[in-house]
Amino acid sequence: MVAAPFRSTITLVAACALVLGPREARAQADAVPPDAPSDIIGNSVVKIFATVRNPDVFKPWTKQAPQEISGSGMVIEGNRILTNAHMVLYSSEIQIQGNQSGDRISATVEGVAPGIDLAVLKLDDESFFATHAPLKRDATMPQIKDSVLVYGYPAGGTSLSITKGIVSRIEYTAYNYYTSGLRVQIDAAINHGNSGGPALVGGKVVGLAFSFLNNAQNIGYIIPTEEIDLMLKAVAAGPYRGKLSMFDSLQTLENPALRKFLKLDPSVHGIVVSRPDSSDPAYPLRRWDVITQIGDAPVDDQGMINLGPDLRVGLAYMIQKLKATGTAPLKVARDGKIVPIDLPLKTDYPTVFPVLKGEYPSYFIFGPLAFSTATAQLLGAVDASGKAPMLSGRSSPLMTRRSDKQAFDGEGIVCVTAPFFPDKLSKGYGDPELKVVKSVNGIEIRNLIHLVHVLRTSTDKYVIIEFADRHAERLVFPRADMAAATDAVLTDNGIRNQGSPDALAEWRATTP
Amino acid sequence: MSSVPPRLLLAALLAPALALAAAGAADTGAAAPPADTADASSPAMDAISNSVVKIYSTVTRPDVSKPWASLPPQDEVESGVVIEGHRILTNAHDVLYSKQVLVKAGEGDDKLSATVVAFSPGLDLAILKLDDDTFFQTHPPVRLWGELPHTREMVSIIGYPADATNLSAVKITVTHIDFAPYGGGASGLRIRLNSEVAAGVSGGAIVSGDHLIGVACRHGSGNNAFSFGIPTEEILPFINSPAAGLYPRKHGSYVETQHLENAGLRAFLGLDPSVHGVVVPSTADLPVTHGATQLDKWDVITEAANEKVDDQGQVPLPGNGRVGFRYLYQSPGLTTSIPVSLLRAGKPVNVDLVLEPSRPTLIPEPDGTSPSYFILGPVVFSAASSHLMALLAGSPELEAALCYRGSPLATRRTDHPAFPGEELVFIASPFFPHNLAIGYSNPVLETVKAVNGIAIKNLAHLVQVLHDSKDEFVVIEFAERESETLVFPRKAMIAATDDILNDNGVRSQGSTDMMAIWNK
Repeated sequence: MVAAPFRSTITLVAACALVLGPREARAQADAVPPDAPSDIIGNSVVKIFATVRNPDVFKPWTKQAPQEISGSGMVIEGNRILTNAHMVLYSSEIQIQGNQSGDRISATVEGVAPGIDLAVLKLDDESFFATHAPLKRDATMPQIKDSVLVYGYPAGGTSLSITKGIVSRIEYTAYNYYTSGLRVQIDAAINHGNSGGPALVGGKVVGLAFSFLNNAQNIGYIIPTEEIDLMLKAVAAGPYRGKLSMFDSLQTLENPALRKFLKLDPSVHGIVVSRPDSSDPAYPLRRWDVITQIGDAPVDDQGMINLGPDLRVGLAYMIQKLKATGTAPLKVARDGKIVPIDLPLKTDYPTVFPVLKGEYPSYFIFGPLAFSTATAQLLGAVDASGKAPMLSGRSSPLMTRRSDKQAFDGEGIVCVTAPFFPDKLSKGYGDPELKVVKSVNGIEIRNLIHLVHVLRTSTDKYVIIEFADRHAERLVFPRADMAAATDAVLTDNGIRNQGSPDALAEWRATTP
Repeated sequence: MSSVPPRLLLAALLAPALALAAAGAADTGAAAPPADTADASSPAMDAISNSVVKIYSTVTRPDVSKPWASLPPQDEVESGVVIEGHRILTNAHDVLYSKQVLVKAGEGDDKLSATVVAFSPGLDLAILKLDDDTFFQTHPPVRLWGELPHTREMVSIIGYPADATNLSAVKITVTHIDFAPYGGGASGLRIRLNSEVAAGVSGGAIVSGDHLIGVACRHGSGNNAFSFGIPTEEILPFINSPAAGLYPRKHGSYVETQHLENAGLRAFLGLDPSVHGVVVPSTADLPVTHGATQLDKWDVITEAANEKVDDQGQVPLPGNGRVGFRYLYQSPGLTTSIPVSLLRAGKPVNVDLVLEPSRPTLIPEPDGTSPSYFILGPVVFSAASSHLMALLAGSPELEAALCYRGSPLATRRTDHPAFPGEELVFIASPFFPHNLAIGYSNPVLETVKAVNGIAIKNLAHLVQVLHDSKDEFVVIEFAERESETLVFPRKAMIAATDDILNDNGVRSQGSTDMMAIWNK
């Protein structure tokens, strides 16, 4: 089997609620006593209102229409509110509201981790925390069958809601983009609006509710405290960069012929490297290596490690348990021997189509053309709009390069995201929408900022734009006319900025 | 006294004699017959009606995901016209892959057995012969008129609608003529009509006066139906060709051109306002002979085959406005080259632009065949074909998945072969259940990169490699990101094949061409 974890089709809920069951004896000095009336815990669960303005990838000079969403959050130590990233990404107005209280307090995002779907908020008025205590988190993992209560503000009402269930399953799986993490499954009712709300066992928080499985029954998911603690520690140490991961292609060692072909002793167990992340001779992993151990944990033939009852998880989980050195200590079976290696880890896959994680797409308008950096979100929008077959038909890099890594550091794909702005300079040219820029005046374009640089520093009489798409026209414009045309376009279309801040910085620079 | 008008009588008597002359008359471009009003009950219509037939075919198209079998039989109905030489002309799309083709003329007649003797998927035309020739004694060929109809001309579409056994004639207006892809891999002149042709009438006659000026062609169904007429100008070379089977594709040039309307572009090229034509922005696709291509970047083509080319790349089509200049590639008498006049850096240059036969594509264009395949153990190998592309076109999620994994089926879709005979070999269906495949994920739609370390060039090469191998294992490597490498014990894989074919009711381990290699 291919070992790379699948992304399940789960629905992100705006908030989750669980109901506490019979108490467990887990007293700790500062914890909210388990037999406390629910409003003491409820006092620390807030409702969150946000106005989301997602990027408009096809018109990157503007944003999509504002959407009002609501969900949940919890008070944590240090006068902070913890909630989901998907609640606050691209939100401009965020407000929190205490339980049984009408006043809303404005909040801002202090740190966000889109991969693991967590976010930390600060309040404009911190006096709120004087009367709303933080919830304590349980340092140990919940166990299967533990009774769990979830608090939150789901759809179907406006006040605090509590639902009850048990811990059903614990796995290490894919979250968003290239991030993986521990995920706890519970069977309490989880609905839209529950996102960001706490799940408690014995009066202590064991996780934060964030999604449920579509077309299933009673399968809801919480982000366990272990992941929360990792994220909070990282945010406190500086800008959040993501979790270290390995990106090698692995395959299971279940097939007997594969074992024989690799000449493995029957006592050797582990997962096979079918394609290392890099073919560089300096990279320590080779094709056909069998990873038998990570840290102290032996790896089985499906690539799992056994970390206790009910905790058999993918080997990559060990990465976050070990000291963060940027490498993972592995043992591999190679050519009949067991070899120790230190595998370099990365926080992100260097895809040529980056994922937007709270920023708006870079763009630059030049005469009748709007250029933008092609991102993973643009690809998603292209597919959703049904334009993919047309792009495949003309061998667009937006289709053919989806699995590529950056060919060089800083490589980006620049495309024209919208049809021409009406202008006589474009008369006679066909629609350049979604065409990918290959060169300008013969200079191959490396990324959007480079395109802006080339346009700025050119002294040629004409600007000649060549596209990578098959049979696309070359566009030729008289350079002297472009400034006036750009002004007219911005005025006519009510566009405030000719480009995103990074593009404008390059356009206004004076260096050669 | 008989009330039969003398004109009709005359027409009936002369029909057989005229029929023989019909092809000749069209070839020499004789003067147009007087344009009768296309009235369903006119004598002209009666003459034609005897030459239009209803065709029933039962087709079993290839099943890409079960290449040892076909898709379930589908009944198709269309129309056809009798042409000289005791033949029937119709569209290819409903008779290709047919197991049985039956022809019927008029109510009350029996259906007669027919076979496809020549076809062009590119032009969407096919020629049938009947088992019993006597039919043609009472059903004369249509007279073909070789000239194009005119814009706004009223013509009749005569054929058998899908649910009818009697002939229908519908008046329709020609909106314009264009030159465009037919959808089967070739471009040609099209008679554009102001409404769709009814289902079943595809393959039927387009008549002006009492002459055939084209064959109706309807693609798609329901709201997605798209109809046009294939004019006699496109039909004549096909029906006059002596070749049987697959009709060769048109020759042409791969020159890339761009419109010359934009003021900035014209200024850049330094063109006087009186200069008209199209510009060559790149010579990358042109053949290189003696170290150079015939054209230079930024050449302006002003004339082709002595016709002036305008800024949108069009040339006059007598009586019918303008069409793309590439129409001129098929001018009679042009076989190996087409004379073009250029403006190169301001100076006039004349070039005989080479017309190449159609270049092969890595994923072959439709040719009436079924994809080849070969089964070994639980694995089904096949060669990528236009049928596979049609399947992918219907599934955007599959398309996106292929792109994300870097599959050559996505990244190399529009390529020409990198070397002669190159094919993409892929796994056409999930594993046949067998414990040889334990622990492996299903590699459906993954492309085979190498077997036992040997890079695979095409399906025949794969079979040869498997045939010649003496290794203990068969190691199959795929091109896609995140694909597994499959390892099977070679002897066990071969030995298991018979049982697998038995269990799954598969008649043949591979297509005939592949078994010829395997069994050597």
